[in-house]
Amino acid sequence: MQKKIIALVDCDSFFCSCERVFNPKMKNVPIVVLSNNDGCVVSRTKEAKALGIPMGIPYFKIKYEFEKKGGVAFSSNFTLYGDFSARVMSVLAEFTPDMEIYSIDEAFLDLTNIPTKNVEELVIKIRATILKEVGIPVSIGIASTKVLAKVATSLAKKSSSGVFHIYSDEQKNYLLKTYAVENLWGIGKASHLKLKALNIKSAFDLMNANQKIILKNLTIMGAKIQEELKGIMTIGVEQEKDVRKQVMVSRSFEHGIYELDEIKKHLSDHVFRASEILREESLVCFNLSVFVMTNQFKELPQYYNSFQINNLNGEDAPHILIKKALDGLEQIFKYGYEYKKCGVMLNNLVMKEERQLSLLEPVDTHAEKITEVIDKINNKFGSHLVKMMSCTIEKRGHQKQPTRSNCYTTMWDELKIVEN
Amino acid sequence: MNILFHNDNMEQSGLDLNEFLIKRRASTFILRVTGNSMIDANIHSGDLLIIDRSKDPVNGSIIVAVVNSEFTVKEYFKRGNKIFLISRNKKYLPLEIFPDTDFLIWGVVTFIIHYAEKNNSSC
Repeated sequence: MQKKIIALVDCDSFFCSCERVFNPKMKNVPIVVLSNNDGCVVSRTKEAKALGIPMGIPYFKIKYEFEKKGGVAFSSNFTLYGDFSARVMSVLAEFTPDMEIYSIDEAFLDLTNIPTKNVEELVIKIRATILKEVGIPVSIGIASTKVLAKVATSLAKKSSSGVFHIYSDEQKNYLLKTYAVENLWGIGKASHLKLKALNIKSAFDLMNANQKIILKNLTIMGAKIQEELKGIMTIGVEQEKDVRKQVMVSRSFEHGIYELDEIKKHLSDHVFRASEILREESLVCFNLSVFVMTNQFKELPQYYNSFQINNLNGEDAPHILIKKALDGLEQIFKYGYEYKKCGVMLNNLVMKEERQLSLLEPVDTHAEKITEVIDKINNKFGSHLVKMMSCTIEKRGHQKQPTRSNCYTTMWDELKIVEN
Repeated sequence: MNILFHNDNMEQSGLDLNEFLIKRRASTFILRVTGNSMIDANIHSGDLLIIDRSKDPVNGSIIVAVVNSEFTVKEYFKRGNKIFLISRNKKYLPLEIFPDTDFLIWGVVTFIIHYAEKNNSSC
């Protein structure tokens, strides 16, 4: 079977890079972009990274020091970022139709069938084209599988050319020996802990581990990652990702329960298990619902109710999910009923890597806003370029943050003005 | 291969200015200009400029450039290895770009949009 050529295109510090296109003064400046309400750092330039600013940190914690050193913070401007994303993706689509948009700033390209003598040259050209035409710098990793391409891209980020090709098994093995297993695509916290317990530390260790043990501990996803590390494509490009849409954990009680505290205990266990499943699959959720019900088969008053919490911020942390679930339970619990079952459902799941976008607080109907944006962009560009964008759009008129840049590409009264 | 081509039916559905003005969506941007340094090139204060970043300038092209981190609209002229940014206004001198000048070409202006009537200040 012919080896595939998969390229992962990953925009560098994407939100910050978008801000720089119309703001050339920011070129070498340490910049961060903040989540809605200027909460946390969701994007940082390499200069900001060099100042030790970690991803996700609440801005107030570093504001003083950061600004003292010349750092600049921008409020997130999703209208702008979404527009730039669509531009980048449309350029990529011109190079190959075999493309999968993975997130707002990442896409996999299948270059196997592109007639080119030198794939590296082609990829360098892709990178140069995006930089010139859209103004966004990207890093591109090339390998024979998606998991390896992700490894290659992380190496590309550190290289001066912005491109990295894993082309031989020898080279690959060498690189995987020093690549930490927890940095691999698809390996979340829970998987990492399991691998640690098995003394599997590097990607090389994982690749060579006993397949049965991996299958047992990390489920089918772990086995797929193993195969991909070996160079065998198991997670296809352009396929629907084998990603869960929902996690549900519920159980009937052994005997009927009347007391809220007892139900809370059971529910907490269910939520904890649900959060484990999330972490095993590197997912986070935006939506949680809990339910309680009485025994339908008994001749007793019946009660069923559920409560939905919509505005989670891409959660996978058990304590947060448990708290939300218990809050929800309190809303629906009614005294006087003999309860038989309770449960939790986690919905609106996305891969954890896309979490940077989820650190915004969604406005109202989160999912509907996403669909709205996707439709707008698709209409503009005439094709279904945006398959998955886990982003929210600031409501127009909803508190323009003073540090939010203009919507340079979408609003007539916010165009860039050239003073001539 | 231009995947952005989107009007391949023969129906007469009206003239689409987007189709005419925007050849390449991904690389086309719109800026507004103020000031008079290009007035003799028919660029007036308040005009809209359509810029295509995919194009390369030739002598005489109107370009948007960034000089010392500031945007500017000028006529591009290159002779040998020397690049000049020319203002089309007799009050201004050409600007020579040296190897160490903080300079980049942001894009080539493809269209200038303004009202025909002199009294309308800007689009």
